[in-house]
Amino acid sequence: MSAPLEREETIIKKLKEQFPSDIKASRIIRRSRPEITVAPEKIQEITTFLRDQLGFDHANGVSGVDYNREARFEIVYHTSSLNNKEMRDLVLAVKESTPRNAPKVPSLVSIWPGVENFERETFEMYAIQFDGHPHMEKLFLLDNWDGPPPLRKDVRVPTD
Amino acid sequence: MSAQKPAQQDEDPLEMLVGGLSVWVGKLNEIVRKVVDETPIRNIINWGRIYSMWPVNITTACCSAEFGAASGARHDLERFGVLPIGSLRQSDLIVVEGTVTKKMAKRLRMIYDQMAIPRYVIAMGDCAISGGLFHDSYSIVNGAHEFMPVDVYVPGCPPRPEALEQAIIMLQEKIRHSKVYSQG
Repeated sequence: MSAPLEREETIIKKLKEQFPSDIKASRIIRRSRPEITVAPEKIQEITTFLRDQLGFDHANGVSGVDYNREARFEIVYHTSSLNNKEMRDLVLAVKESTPRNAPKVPSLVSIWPGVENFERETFEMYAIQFDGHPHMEKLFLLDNWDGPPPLRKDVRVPTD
Repeated sequence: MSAQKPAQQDEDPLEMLVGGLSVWVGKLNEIVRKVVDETPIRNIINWGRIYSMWPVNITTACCSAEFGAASGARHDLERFGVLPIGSLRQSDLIVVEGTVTKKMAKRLRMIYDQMAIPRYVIAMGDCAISGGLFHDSYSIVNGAHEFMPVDVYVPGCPPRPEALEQAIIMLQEKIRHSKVYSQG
């Protein structure tokens, strides 16, 4: 079955033509689920290209993944399109990695304004700094929370 | 020691009367409690409480779907007198339906404090018993008993509506065998 993967291959081909050295890896997980891995320095250019040229007009969510054995965090932006009718079931995952001891990546609020609260949540759960975010504060945790970021792998929440 | 002057020489006779009366009212209260608890009046009052347990409409998590199923036509909790009602002041029963987060625990306790005595608590689901799947998490209270007294626990994830019916019947039995003034 090669015909159903045509859209995904086209998107990845266009991205690789535009940014030949910045797309570190690309993969098609299954139908309508492509993913790319990019460098954090170039993610703003690549996502601007995604939004303006390929029609990815919003982000569905922002996830943080803690690879503590490899000493890095991975941030995943799932993006898709509402305007292009033939692309509505397609979700592209844009991944980037940042070192675990000083996690800092550029914020994408200027490209997709909807990621503001997602990035805030990733910040409070993993303490990943998003550069250029307007309100880098706590979102869901308790007001008197003074512990470490709770979703990191090496954090043990004390039993009460 | 020099003789002290009696302090009550200029006391108001009305205050003396009220003080004496309050002692008698207190004794009357004791007598009423004794009579109510040791005679069939207790059974009548408990009978009224058993068949009019109105739960609060408070939902903390997904067990509320099972509570809704139990309130529906097939299981019909209303035949036990369990009628979901809007007002906290008229409610007797609070069913903790599922996971209690630390933020929600404050609100649940607030609701519990607003309810009139007697009030009963059913902890429904594993999360309300011990935290369940989310035990020792950073945002979860490990069981509803940490902030309010619980009468009946219903295990299950989620419990079947039949289990909730069983809990209601167990709570009715508990009320039937308890004293009037020590409930809630």
